[in-house]
Amino acid sequence: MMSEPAKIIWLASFPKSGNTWFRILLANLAAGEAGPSDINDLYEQGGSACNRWEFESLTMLDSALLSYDEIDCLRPLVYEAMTAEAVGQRWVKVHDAYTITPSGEPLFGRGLSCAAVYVVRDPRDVAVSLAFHHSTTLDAAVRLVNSPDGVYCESRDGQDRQLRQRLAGWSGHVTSWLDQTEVPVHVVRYEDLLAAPARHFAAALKFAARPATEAEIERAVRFADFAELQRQENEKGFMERISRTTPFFRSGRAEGWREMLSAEQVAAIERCNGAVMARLGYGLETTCRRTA
Amino acid sequence: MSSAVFKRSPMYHYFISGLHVSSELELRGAIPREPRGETDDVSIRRGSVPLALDGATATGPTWDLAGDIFLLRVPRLIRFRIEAGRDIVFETEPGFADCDAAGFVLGTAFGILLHQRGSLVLHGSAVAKDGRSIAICGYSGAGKSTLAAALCGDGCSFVADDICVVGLDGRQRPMILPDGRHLKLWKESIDHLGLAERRGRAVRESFAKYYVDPPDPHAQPSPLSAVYVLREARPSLKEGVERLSLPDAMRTLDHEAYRPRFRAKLQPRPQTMAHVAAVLSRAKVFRLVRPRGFEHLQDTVAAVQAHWDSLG
Amino acid sequence: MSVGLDTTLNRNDELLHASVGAEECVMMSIEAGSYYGLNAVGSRIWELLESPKTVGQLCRQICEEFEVDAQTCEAAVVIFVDDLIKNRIVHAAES
Repeated sequence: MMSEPAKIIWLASFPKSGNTWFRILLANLAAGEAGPSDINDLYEQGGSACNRWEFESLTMLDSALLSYDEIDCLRPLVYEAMTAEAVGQRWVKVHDAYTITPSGEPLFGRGLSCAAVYVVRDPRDVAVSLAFHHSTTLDAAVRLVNSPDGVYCESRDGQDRQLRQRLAGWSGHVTSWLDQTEVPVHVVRYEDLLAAPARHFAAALKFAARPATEAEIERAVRFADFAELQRQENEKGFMERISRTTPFFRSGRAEGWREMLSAEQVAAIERCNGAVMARLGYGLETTCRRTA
Repeated sequence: MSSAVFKRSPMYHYFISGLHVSSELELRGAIPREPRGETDDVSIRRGSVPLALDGATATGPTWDLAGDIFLLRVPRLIRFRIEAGRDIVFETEPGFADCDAAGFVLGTAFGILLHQRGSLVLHGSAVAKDGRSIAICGYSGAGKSTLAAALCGDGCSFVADDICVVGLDGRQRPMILPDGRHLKLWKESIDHLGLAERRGRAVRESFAKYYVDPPDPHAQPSPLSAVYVLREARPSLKEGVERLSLPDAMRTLDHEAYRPRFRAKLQPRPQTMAHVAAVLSRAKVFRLVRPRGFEHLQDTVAAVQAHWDSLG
Repeated sequence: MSVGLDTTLNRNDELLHASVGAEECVMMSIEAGSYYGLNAVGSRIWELLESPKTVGQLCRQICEEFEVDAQTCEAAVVIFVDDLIKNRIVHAAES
């Protein structure tokens, strides 16, 4: 637990691991309203670490004139400026792995007054969710989960809305955040949040020294209930959705992968990520086989 | 001593955003002009630039501000000292080519200089027809330049790309000043729009974004009719053109300013507000939501033209 | 709680404001990051509040300048002023 509330909490996760749901919980907590917050108009959103507008606003530079590596070299300075400017406690969405920039600095700077809440989800469910969200094949999603070179937003011939994010594959991503020593980190498993949301949300808030009463937490959990999110999306859409065919709030449960992934796909994920999965308490289907 | 030692640097001349500019650095992204006899408004010179400013009243990750002097650092590439809306001094790091420096001079450094002069600068493109102009704003990568180029292929003349200065004439009417720059387009857009012949050098070596010589650059300031803020259609955001209410329009223009945080530090709020209010007295602000993708570009062009015509 | 005719109103001097065109006005609170737009009647009320006035005084003035009967005017001005107070554009002075 932090002795003094950190100014920035990096809400970090591999994509499709529950980051958005956590932010909706936070927004409902902060709003303190009588009813659920509008998912398209969330109060006190801390933004993301990859917002190009914010990067350009703080550096004064045209990011289109900088290579991905040059941008990464500037990001520690940008995050330190963001920390200095933060009013109150700001929770910032992050999908980057915790990496070191080409100039040898931690990507997230040496900012004192930062901490991380890391949300992790079974990579098999992550793969399924990725495929639906991006309208790709399951094999492509499995590759992103497995690939140490995996990235988001690295077009060669256009400019993505966000800055390039190195994902490092699921296990690379998890270990990069959990094993670094610059920033205190608290882990939340998506599956635990699903099973006992109030308890695990409360634990994360306590770690961040973010004050909240039991009643406030319970209300936020109720207002961010999956059925409510689905209802809102059905009614008015959700701005983070990109798939034409599948809603963003699709199933919200654990172990849905059993119905979707082939045995080969499961084996591929477990081969690449088995050790870290076991570390986080995810049971494996396949056992290690020595090759002859 | 050989006279070859005492070679003068060649000077290049441009007319950018309504200002006469002389530059030691060739600015490949700008349209060259004949030198005029009188003093120029802006001079761009190579020189020695410190790493920090003494007595800085404000600092950021890459910059220092001390009164009317602004220092900008692009680590390992180039540094600028921008003073009083009049002088830009630059120093490149070893290995950083002059031709790559031009992009930073024309964009970032010049944008800051314009703010020092008290201009209202939008981050966007502009085109004109029938003696009036529209500005197209939106986040970086939204497709402003591509839409502007496509409109130029549909009868409009090119006014500005990336940095769009909105001045007020003697009757307080908002006017967009021609920026004297080239368009900057990604290769995909260039190919799709059939502009390969007008393609110049890359904005930076090995990047797939290029300067493109505009076919019909507008020479005069033209009255601003409307600002369109470009957004991508999503399941939660439907296609169409929607007029923004007055407070939303003001918020939008503040947000779409070029380097809004810097503007806020440099120009007194009441002054920018009055300027923006003057713009809003004559020009309307719309949100234009359209599907991304080249296959939709011509439909978007048609929709913008029709809407613009309907403004009267 | 609605204002009464005797309530004195003061402008919130922290707000920045600028007129737009002949009749409208736009305001901004830097602190809150909020923007407001006032139509012709609202802009005139803001203008009149350059010095503190009671709601009653405002009603009389607005009634004179705009073509509206006293009763409608009063009802509309009260609703309007309540909204201005809620958005912290004006304050009701302590009596």
